Amino acid sequence: MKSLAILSHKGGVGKTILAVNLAIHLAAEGKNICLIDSDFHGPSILTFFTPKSEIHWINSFLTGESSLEECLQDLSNDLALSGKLLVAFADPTPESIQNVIRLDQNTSMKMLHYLMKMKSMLREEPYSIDYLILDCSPGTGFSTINVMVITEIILFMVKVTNADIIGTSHMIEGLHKQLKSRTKIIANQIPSDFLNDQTKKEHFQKLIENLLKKDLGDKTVDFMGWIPNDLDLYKTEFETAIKTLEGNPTRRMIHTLDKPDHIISKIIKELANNLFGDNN
Amino acid sequence: MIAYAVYVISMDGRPLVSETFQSAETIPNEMLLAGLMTALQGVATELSQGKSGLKSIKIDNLSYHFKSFGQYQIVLVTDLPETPENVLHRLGIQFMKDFGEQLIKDSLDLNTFQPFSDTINEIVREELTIDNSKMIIPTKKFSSGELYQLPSHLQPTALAMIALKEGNVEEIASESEKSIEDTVDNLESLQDMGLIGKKVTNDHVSYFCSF
Repeated sequence: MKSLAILSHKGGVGKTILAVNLAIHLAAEGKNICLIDSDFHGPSILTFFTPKSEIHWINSFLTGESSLEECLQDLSNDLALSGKLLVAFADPTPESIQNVIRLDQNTSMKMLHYLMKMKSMLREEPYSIDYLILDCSPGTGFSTINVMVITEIILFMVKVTNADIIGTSHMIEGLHKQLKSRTKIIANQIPSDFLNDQTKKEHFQKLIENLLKKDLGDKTVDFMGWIPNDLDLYKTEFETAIKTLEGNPTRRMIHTLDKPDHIISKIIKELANNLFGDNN
Repeated sequence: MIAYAVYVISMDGRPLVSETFQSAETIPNEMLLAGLMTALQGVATELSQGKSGLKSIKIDNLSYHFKSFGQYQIVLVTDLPETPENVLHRLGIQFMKDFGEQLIKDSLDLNTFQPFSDTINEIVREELTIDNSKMIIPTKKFSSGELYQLPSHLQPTALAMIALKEGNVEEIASESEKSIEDTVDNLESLQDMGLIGKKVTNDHVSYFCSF
């Protein structure tokens, strides 16, 4: 089983969209995927799916109150995926978010204990998961550090704005000890016309890599590429929100499921290959 | 639940007998501890207007549980806040049976109570987890941030300990995907650091940690 943590310095950079799209793409390819919402400060994976009637939040597994089986929802059939897609949602209630914000060291260690148990269980029957994908909270809270501890691949997502680039550079420097030997970076929400200019792309890639590699010693940052802005997505997300406000059942668009030929779907498929290698 | 120490303290604040299951470097001065516990009990009883004494207190992530038996009280130090009522009761009653008559004498010879440390050992071992190596440092615990302050070769064993909480060498080696030889060395190093304890039950050796 390979495991991936998706991190960022700031919120709203597109971590959840990437996590969901990667999971769907790999499950559609026949792989067994477990997608965990570890963004306990602002959970939103739930908005991409139609969960079964009763939800046991992953929070309750991490505090020992529910079993893993209760917390995982198998959405493979609903989405007509050839592989398995197990999803665990995080509790979006204010009380739960407050609990995570106030997390102390002891509780954090208990959560790490259950995360490690979860990882061992997912490798075995009946789950037999090929890829475990965890969408983390922005920043460097206890819950994000725990996810970094249990995963092999760490992918930072950045928006090319001063606030995010500089913040991510500080975050990577601060987390130096927790980083694996190779850390991956991907840039999101890039204007499409910029991506058409190969020279510009290479120049900026070098600048970003140089900034992020600072003080990393023996560790390396690999730049994984650029994801363009999808102006249609803003419109679709707006329309979905209106439908939700009108009381209609909705789920947010997932490129790799709803628009498999879209440029973003193609980039995500390529990213999956580059992240996990050997044809996944 | 891990037990770190048991103290039998007279109601006037004198330590009668004690037994510890932790690193000798971290054992608090018995006299000071006995005095402090008795003072705390007094304040708690005063505040509750004599209705009830102090049952439990948490200091520096350690829980001190109290049970009074008239002329003396049992203080049990553990890693978790839940009171191990049964252990306190068994210790208190057994002390009464063994030394009840000695307690009413005018002059107490503290050496008289020393054999009770074996009884403490026996009772606590039956009910709770204790570190037979007496190397564990109660206030030193794994934390996800500090895991990476450990030398890199120890990190997989430390992580396996967090995943298992308790296990024998084979289980820890399998969880960490390290050889038995490396695991034994790493467990010894983690013990030396005071991070894990070693439990021996009927020749079965296991290692444990607290968080």
